[in-house]
Amino acid sequence: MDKFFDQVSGVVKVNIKGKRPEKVLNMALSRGIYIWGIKNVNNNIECRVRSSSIEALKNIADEVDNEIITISAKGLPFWKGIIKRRLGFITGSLIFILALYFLSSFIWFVNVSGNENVKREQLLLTAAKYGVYQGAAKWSFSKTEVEEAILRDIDNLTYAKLDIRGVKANIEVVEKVLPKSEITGPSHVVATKDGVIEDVLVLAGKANVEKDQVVQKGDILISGVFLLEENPLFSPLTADDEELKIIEPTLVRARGIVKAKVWYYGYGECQLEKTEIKRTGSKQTEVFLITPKAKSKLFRIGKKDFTFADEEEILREIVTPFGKIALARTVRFEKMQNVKKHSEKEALDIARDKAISSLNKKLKDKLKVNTTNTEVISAPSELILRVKVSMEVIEDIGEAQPINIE
Amino acid sequence: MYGEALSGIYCLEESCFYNICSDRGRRMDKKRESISKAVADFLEIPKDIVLDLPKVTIVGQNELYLDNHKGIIEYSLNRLRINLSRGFLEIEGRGLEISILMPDEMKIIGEIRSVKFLD
Repeated sequence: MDKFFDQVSGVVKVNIKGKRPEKVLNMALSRGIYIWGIKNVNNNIECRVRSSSIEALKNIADEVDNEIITISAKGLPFWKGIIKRRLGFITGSLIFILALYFLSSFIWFVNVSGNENVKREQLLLTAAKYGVYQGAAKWSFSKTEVEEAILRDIDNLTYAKLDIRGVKANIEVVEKVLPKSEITGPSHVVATKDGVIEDVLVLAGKANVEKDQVVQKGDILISGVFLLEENPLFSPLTADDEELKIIEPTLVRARGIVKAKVWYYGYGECQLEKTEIKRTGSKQTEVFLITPKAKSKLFRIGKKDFTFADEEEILREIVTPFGKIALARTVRFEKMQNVKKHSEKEALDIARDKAISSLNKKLKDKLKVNTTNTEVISAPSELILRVKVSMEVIEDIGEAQPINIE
Repeated sequence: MYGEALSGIYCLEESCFYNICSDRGRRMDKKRESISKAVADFLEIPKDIVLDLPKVTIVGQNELYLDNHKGIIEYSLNRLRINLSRGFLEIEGRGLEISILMPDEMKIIGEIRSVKFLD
């Protein structure tokens, strides 16, 4: 800290020449001049004093016939010349620092994360309503208030956090996960898909189908409505109870597992002669600065100009009070044409692989595959080989459906 | 030699000069000193404050702190004489430097060989 103040006030290194330099030191001491770094160099005393007390020290030296010679001067007061010469540079750097500080107190980017069903636009709009938008000043909103307002305005959220890092605002949300509404009233179990019944396990209700029966989507598999069979152990009804003989059907919430063979179909194709366009690997990058008035090229990497190329553009935009300013990077990838011929067997394999991968996407690896069947559906004269792959899968096709009692 | 040395103190404390030089003054001083010493002993106050005694702290062989000094009498790279309220302190060594000099205290650095109290 002392060194800092020394730099601010300025430090002078002097040489005291004369008969009794100690005398100068003692007099300076009695007058409250702070001296340090006293060193004997060739019978002369060398020491350091603050630039403010150099005149007083010279006066003392004169009184006792000594001479003060300045060796070096350091610190802010001695930078005057430099400051005068470099005024433009210093002002520029000060303006730069101030501008940087000023601009960093605004939000330039707003990100949203954690949303699945709630739309990004909705979140951004709500945040903007409470003061968090591109170009908003950081002091103009309160973090907790915005978080609370987002939670209040959007019902489907259970948690919202506004994180501000530098010029970036990140809105992190967690959506509500509601439990599935369970059917509690009387219901059937119906088929969700066409299939052939493989196994029926009834937990409640009455089975409507049996093994190897073909069912269609919507067919009742386990019925929730049935008539109670007469219990042989129960005493027979008397003639007086004739009215009671009109037996009301029983309604239950049918439950059970109905497994059925279900077929999934996938389609794949492969051209026997294919013109492929591939990237060679060489590329050219150009960077542009786009202002509301003009688009100017900043620099280019890679000298080649390609005759046949793909172009990709990455745009980074900032909305400022003067309009949109963007930094665009255009990358050009060189392409090459390549004719590829497949034999029929190769084409079949490729087409089948494509069909199976498209099927697997549908099945999502949840089901056990029983058998797979491949069928070529294109004519031999065609230049393209089309394949249909069917997969037999055993799965539970039952789904509860409420009974409409009216 | 001491006359020369004392002339160094002359400008620092004029009254002190006369006190040291005259017999009457010396007797008065001793009297005052013995009273102060008795008071300091009775009240258990540090003597360096009451009697204006020097306080020397030596750290290793290369650092010496001195409180309550009365000015520099002689300074060279090998010898340093410092005036005290009574007598003076002689420090001998090699490459002696006064790194801090303030009205009441100073810090001396360099290779210290001996520290002597002289009347």
